[in-house]
Amino acid sequence: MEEAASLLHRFGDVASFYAGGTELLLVMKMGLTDLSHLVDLKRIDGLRSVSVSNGTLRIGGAATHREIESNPLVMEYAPAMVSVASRIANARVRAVGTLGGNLAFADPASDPATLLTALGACVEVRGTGDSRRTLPLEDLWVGAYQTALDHDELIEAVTIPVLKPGTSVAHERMKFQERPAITVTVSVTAVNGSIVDARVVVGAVAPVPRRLARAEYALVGLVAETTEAGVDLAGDAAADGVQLLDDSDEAGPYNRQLTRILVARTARQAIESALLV
Amino acid sequence: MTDVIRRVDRQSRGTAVGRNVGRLDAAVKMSGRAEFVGDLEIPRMLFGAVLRSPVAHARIVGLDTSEAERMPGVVAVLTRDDLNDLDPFYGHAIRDRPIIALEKVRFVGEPVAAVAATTVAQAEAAILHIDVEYEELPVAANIASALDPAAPILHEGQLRSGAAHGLGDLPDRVGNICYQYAIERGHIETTDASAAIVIDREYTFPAVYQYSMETHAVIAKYSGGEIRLWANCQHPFLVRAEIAMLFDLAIEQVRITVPFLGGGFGSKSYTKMEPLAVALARKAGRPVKIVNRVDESMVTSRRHGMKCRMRTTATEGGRLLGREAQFWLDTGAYADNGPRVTATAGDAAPGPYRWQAFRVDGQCVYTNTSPSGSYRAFGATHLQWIGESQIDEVARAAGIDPLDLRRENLLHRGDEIRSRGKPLDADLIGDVEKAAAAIGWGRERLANRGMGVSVGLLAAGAHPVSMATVKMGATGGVAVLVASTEMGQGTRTVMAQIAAEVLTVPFSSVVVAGADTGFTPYDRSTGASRSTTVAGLGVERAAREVLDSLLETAQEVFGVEDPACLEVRDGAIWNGTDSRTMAELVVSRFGFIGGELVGHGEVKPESGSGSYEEGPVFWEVCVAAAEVEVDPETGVVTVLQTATVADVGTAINPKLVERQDEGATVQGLGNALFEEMIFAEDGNLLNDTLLDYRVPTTMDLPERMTSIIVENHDGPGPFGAKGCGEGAFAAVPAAIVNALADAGVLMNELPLTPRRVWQRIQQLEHRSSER
Ligand SMILES: Cc1cc2nc3c(=O)[nH]c(=O)nc-3n(C[C@H](O)[C@H](O)[C@H](O)COP(=O)(O)OP(=O)(O)OC[C@H]3O[C@@H](n4cnc5c(N)ncnc54)[C@H](O)[C@@H]3O)c2cc1C
Repeated sequence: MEEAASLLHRFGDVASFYAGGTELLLVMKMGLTDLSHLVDLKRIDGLRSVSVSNGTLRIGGAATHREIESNPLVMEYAPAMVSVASRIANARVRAVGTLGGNLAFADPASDPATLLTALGACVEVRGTGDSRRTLPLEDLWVGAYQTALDHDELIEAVTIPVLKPGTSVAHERMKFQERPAITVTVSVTAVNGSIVDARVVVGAVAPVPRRLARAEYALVGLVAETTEAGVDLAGDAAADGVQLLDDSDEAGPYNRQLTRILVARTARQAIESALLV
Repeated sequence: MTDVIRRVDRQSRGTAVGRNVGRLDAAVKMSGRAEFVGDLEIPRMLFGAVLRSPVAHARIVGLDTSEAERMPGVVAVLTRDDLNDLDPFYGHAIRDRPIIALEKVRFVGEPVAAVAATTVAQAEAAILHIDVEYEELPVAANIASALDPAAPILHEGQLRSGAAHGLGDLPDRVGNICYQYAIERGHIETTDASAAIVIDREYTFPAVYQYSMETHAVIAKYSGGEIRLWANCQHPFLVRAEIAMLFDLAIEQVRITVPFLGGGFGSKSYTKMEPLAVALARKAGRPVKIVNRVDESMVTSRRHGMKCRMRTTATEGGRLLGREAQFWLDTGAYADNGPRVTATAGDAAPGPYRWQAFRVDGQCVYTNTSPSGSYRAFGATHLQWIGESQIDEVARAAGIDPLDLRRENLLHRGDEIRSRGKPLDADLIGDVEKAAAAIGWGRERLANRGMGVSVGLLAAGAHPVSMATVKMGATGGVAVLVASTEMGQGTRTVMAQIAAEVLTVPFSSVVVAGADTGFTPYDRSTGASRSTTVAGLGVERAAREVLDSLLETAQEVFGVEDPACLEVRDGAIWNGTDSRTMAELVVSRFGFIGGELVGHGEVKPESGSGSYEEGPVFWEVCVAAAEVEVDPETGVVTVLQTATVADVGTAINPKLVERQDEGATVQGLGNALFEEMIFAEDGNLLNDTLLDYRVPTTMDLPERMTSIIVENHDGPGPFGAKGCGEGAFAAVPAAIVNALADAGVLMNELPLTPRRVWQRIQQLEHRSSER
């Protein structure tokens, strides 16, 4: 890993990390970059492994979506991650595309970034020499296609904390082209039949997946009888609060509508399952 | 799940026709052994790369290739300066397209220079070192801007008509209008007097890409006054004629070999990359292969986008009176097949109804975008959804079931469709009733769901000129030489079935190879649903000639005077209980194990010239029904089920007929729901990758697709067959649009993207709340 980071350091802008290549090769084919060195991460020991310590799940940065969707530990500790990974793209992309590549590329249309933001996940980052740091997912992306990573920093792993008891997570997306048009994750915690904590994250329509505080607020305190009205309010709040990537006259109103509807539907789903148990 | 209903009892037949034999090409394709142009290599072959214009309209004021010429591996760089000895314009309809840009470029992606080098990478690297200086001109990137009085004019000078459009004398170009097609019947003005229902709207249809998995590919060799091509073209004989004309050779000096095609759908009809490849090979003095990338093929051919205004009138009781249609097709920078598409669209505009009068006026418009050509069911697909949507509006206004309205107003078998042309040769009412029944027409309506039907006609067959040769050798094996292009539709299989049926030999003993204009006899083209009907008839006739020779020999062998005493059965000829296999007969004819019986089959117009106006060979029905569900909150439309009708006379291979209709259904669904090439105001195609231009996948299939085969044994082809494969494409989008309107959302723009549908729902809700 140190070697990979130092190679990037040494070659500078004409070098890039290379994992599944599902994004990188597209960019290269379109002639948008002029790279002379690719540093392959796939064979680095441990970079694809999945482990658990103190209940925290740790997924290696070079694990493929396919490996994630079929891993028993992920299934046990973060089932939502399995269902998300299994719906990404298509079988070809899932077979080689990696979680680290998805997060490092920072395409706004990312399912894992949306989910992981809601789960309060962190990325472990490795740079040249001994440099290491841990970033909450919310701080990893600074804008569309822009991360807080230095050129020679690589994503070593993603860590996902255990869910609080009584928590249910729902992730929904709508896809009109190859990539999702909108991604929504809602995570709610229920105690004694009432929602005490909620996280609502909206991605793809926005440059970066973000929690939407007013939508979350609308969900807290809901009980079975108030769910219907509450999720609609959350949808309205999300539609108001979301910062859109395309807010043109032509696309803006529809993107807000998608946000409204998908947040309400996803919240309903999360709450129904939280209140069941 | 696909679920197939065969409604017409099959009369039992001989060895091959009517049977679901497996595809002849299945095993080689599934095992990866089938050869496509991209797989071929010939000695001393170079690789070509094409420098394409980054701007939509400009004068080329400087072109410097010196640096590229010095790049490693580069053998030749082709520019306009290499064409001075030729008349470099081609186009089967209008000769408006230079082999490579001359003084101007007219669309983003137009070839400006080409490099031949030892490797693909070297050729691609070299084109980046060609310096071109453009002096930009105003751009007309869509129909509206091309028709503006102040629009830049794309083509100047005398219109030169091409050799193979079949449209008679082409009218003069007017501004950017390259072709106009008008038809009029009765006096449209008089129909208004009794009109109680008037539907009058404007519509928009998107430009789409034919997306076949294999892009355009060609290998060209120019040597000793001869040209050889290995090309994935659908119409090798027409391409041969154009290449001979361009390079000033006799037709016989040009030879084109066509291996398997990885799909065509019209994108590979007529001449595409061949002239450029030949010019580059001529310059290089060595063979050159050019294989397009997807984004290059997307600007090589596409379907016309269109604007249309239509007006339909009817009596209060729903009797149709008159229809007027005006439409403008965006043919891009060069005419390609635009004139023919315009004429076919014009013919589809009235729809197959008993009008008192109609008037149609179609215009084919040049714009600074990539050229548009053929795509499965062209013209009919453009107009059917519009016409049929208005028929349903009339039904709603009159309070009549749309199916009943059609029963009352559709044309009947034998009715005239256009003066001089072939009358209706199908039972449209019966066909649409079958489609409607298959989706449960009349069932109780659920919220947000709707059902729709649609009916139309497509002139099929093109010019009915095809030849075929059938040969039988001394071992009884049969070879069919026919130039129909195998592009996945199964034509080789069907041709083998036809020959096997006539000769009563096992299907497996028949070999069908691809087209090679040096050896396979002439076939006009593979398209217009014509191969089985026209080329297939040639095969049937050729096989009958072989059979005649066999009977002649059998008469001698058995010593019988009257051939009627002989019976042909199971690959043998019988005289009572005595028999000789066909192989034995060939051997006795030639006196040794060798020799070959050769039969020739010729298909030509039965009467007249076979021209378009006198035609068509047959009317292909375009009949479908669909059920959809719309999510009013997001505008997402889901097609729940479809039914299509293949009125094929006789199904030579029923399974292949079903696959044709299913394929057309899925393509029609893509065209209706999400496919759309988006051109910016500056003429750039914004979605030239499959990431942004979505084609349907198996995930988009309706839950249920019903493919109904109707067999009335009434076709002009072999064993009463007539073609299929296009009709469903025109019919399905129309049925979907009608089903959506039935669910409450009347649309006048395709594709039915969720955003567009949702916006429309907002508009409708807004209007009803104002009321
Ligand atoms: C057709 C298609 C459909 C898709 N659909 C979806 C979808 O539905 N939902 C969704 O969420 N995503 C979707 N994606 C995105 C997909 O998830 C990513 O392409 C994939 O995960 C990227 O991983 P990779 O290993 O191939 O990255 P690469 O292409 O190898 O790399 C991408 C970028 O990340 C850098 N990089 C790679 N690994 C690391 C690392 N460990 N640390 C630091 N930098 C790194 C590379 O240098 C490069 O800049 C789709 C992609 C395609 C092509």
